[in-house]
Amino acid sequence: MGKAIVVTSGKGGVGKTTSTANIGTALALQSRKVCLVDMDIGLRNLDVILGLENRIIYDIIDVVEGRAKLHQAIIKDKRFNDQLFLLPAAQHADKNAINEEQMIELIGELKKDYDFVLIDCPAGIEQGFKNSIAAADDAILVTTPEISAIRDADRIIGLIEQTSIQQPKLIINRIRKSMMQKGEVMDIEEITRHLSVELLGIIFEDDEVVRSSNKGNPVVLDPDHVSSQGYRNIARRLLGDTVPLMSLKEEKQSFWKKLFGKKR
Amino acid sequence: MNNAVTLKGRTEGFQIILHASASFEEVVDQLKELTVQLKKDTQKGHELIFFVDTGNRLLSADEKKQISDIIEDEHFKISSYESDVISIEDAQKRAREARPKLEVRTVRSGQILEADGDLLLIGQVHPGGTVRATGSIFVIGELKGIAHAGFEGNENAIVLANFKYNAQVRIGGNVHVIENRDENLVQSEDIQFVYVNDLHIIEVGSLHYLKTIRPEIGKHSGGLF
Repeated sequence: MGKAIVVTSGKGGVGKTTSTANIGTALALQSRKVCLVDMDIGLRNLDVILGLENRIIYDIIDVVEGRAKLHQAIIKDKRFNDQLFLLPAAQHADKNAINEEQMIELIGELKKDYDFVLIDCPAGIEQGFKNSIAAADDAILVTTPEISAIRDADRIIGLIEQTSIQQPKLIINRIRKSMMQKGEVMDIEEITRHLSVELLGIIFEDDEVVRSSNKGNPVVLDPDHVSSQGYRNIARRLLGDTVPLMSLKEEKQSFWKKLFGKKR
Repeated sequence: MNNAVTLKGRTEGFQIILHASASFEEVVDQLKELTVQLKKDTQKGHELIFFVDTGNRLLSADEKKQISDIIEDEHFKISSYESDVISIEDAQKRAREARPKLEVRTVRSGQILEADGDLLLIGQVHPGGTVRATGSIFVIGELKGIAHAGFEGNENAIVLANFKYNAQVRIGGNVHVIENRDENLVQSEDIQFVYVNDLHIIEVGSLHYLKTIRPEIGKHSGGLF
């Protein structure tokens, strides 16, 4: 029996979908069987980031309304040997096309076959959010160091605490090292203390995330980037490993490295 | 009393004409008489096939069942119902299907563009958008979403477009993913067409072979048949 984890944030644009894709990929790289479920019905994105958009034949609403069997709607990511799968959202329906009971049944089915079921929650706290958390065992809360995202995260924690889900684990995304060091934004410890939840990991701001997402390849596939390392650490922590937090210190480039080192 | 039912011999069997000038009750009454007489006159074990011609009348499913109940038994069978008229709905659908629907627009993510019969789209299908037709689909512009031809099961339909982008083509119940990441499948700059071959597999063909493979395309007369 696998575990269903919802990835949520409240605020939009903080990196829920990117985090879902990358954590799922990282877990698949660790030889776990993972199914990603896109719940952003009507504004789906997860398929795009994984580069699977044109493979969609049936979607979650087709399954719920009985037009397709669950296994028909699930898309296998060919880059991994039977490790990573996607259940795509519908694009021409809305969040009310599915309800909580149907979600519980669906995710229950998936948990039989997969080690991890990652649910990509839509922004907001309406029906889409309710559906996403209805069937989850655990929650991952994504925020950025911005005060607006932290406010919304706080509200989400409050909502999740009213359910049977364990306390959510926090990912602080898009950290700009220099700003945090100068104290222009709340630092990691402040955010964690303010929200008083367990910290699961931090991801540094990295242009490569956008670059690789645009190509349909999650950044975590290439281990050389800081963001990739962050997601890999998160996956290992989810599997129970103890991994130290990445350092905030900006690597000072030596004069000689500046002069000769810029080969990449 | 007018004659409501006429029996005629045909090479394949018997034709029963139900005259539209008579009321349905009259038809039923006379049909019962006729059937009783026929069953008396026919040798036991002799099979008879009937074609029911309803003339200028359209029978509802209920009425058809009544007729079937009267005539049919183990030896008497109704092969088909024929009529000189069709419903307005059917007529409009046929008229729509007889000529291609022309659309000039962009089909965006989440939108579905539907057509009875053939569809000619001048414009783009964005990723996540769907164009769907009971006949064939012709796209002048970029196809990056889903094109579903022969939506109600017509496997002779084709999709004609420039397949140089990632897209998905469906014909009847067949699905084909067009992927450019595959280096072996160098996409042509030309317009090509996708069809279902004799083995029920979707195939991409060069425009030169369109006339050979689907000679019926483009032969619509504009009439009903």
